[in-house]
Amino acid sequence: MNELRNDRNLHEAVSRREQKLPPLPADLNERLMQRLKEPATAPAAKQKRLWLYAAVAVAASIALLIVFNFRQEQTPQEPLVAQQTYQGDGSSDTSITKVKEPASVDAPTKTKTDAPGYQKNRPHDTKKQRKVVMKLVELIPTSETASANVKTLPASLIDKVKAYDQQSDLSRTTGIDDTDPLVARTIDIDEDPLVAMAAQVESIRQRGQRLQQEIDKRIDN
Amino acid sequence: MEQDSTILISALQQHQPAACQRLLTDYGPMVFRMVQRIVSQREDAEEVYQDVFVKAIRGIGGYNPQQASLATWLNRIAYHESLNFVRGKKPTLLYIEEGNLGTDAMEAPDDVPQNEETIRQLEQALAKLPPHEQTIVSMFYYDNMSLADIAFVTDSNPSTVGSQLSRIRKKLYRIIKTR
Repeated sequence: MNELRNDRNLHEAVSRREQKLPPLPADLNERLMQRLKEPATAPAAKQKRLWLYAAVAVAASIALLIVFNFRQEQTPQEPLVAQQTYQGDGSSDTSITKVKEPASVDAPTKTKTDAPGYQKNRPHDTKKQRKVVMKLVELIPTSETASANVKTLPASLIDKVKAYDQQSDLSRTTGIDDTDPLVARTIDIDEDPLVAMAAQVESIRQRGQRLQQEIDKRIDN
Repeated sequence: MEQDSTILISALQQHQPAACQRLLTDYGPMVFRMVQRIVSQREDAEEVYQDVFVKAIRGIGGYNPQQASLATWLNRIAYHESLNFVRGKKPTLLYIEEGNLGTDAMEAPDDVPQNEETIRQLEQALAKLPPHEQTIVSMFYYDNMSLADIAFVTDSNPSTVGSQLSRIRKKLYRIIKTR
């Protein structure tokens, strides 16, 4: 340690170096004092900024909640759309083209609704759905007079109405028969994957039949 | 002196403007020197100097007089604040590291007669040290601080500081020899 302290050369070199450092600027302390007086206003600005961030965060979370809630809710029209039955024109293979949608959206969850505690988990959805169903039930004519009135309508008109009911929204508005799988694929309708797969299987089967026929013909020749 | 600093500290804790002014007057030059040892640019040094005192005045409640004197505590803040500032910036200077020196270089001589040429060479060699090493040497030789105080400033322990100083001194003489 003494060896270190007694190094006069190093001591002198360090002293000379230190003396070359510029002195403290005269106005620096004044500037610093002004900066130190600022904190009275600084926290207010900081707090204001924090409030702004908090408000933005709350607004964003509310917006997210609304978006998710809106997506989960059902519109009154949805059960009706789900009840639509997609049918072909009858000329093609019925096993492929006649595919029925589920009777209602509730159907797959029916077993779940029986489970205990289900009502607690999803009270919002089922209550709304029940209300919609109740309203639809009220709209259905049940009296004898109503059924009598229907019977008096001309048969052609009833057939037209039935055919119209069987059409999808797309075919009602555009006139395109979207029950045909080929059409559905061409215009990129969001069709049932099972239907698409069945159509593919059918087309493969038909191609196989055609090939078989050609082979048979050639063998006969 | 100790009583004065106790009064000053209690006044600072009460956020008295006069106490802040006195703190700057009494300890400002020392802190500015410490900052300048590490931060070479004048504008940057002024900025760091202000940050040091803002931190010190706001954190005066955390000062423990039994650990170190007020001057040492301020030096500690200045040392770390300056190093943080320098590390935050991209390095623009290259410093001589131990490995860059030749192995054949001799160790520091035990007793070298004081001469102008050696002093001049040492002064030049000091400029080639990394800022934290320059600061340790300056604290020891110029500020005449004890190893314990230097250890408090650098967040180390006295024996480590002793060995660091010895190593830096040997390094300086090696730089001179390899020139």
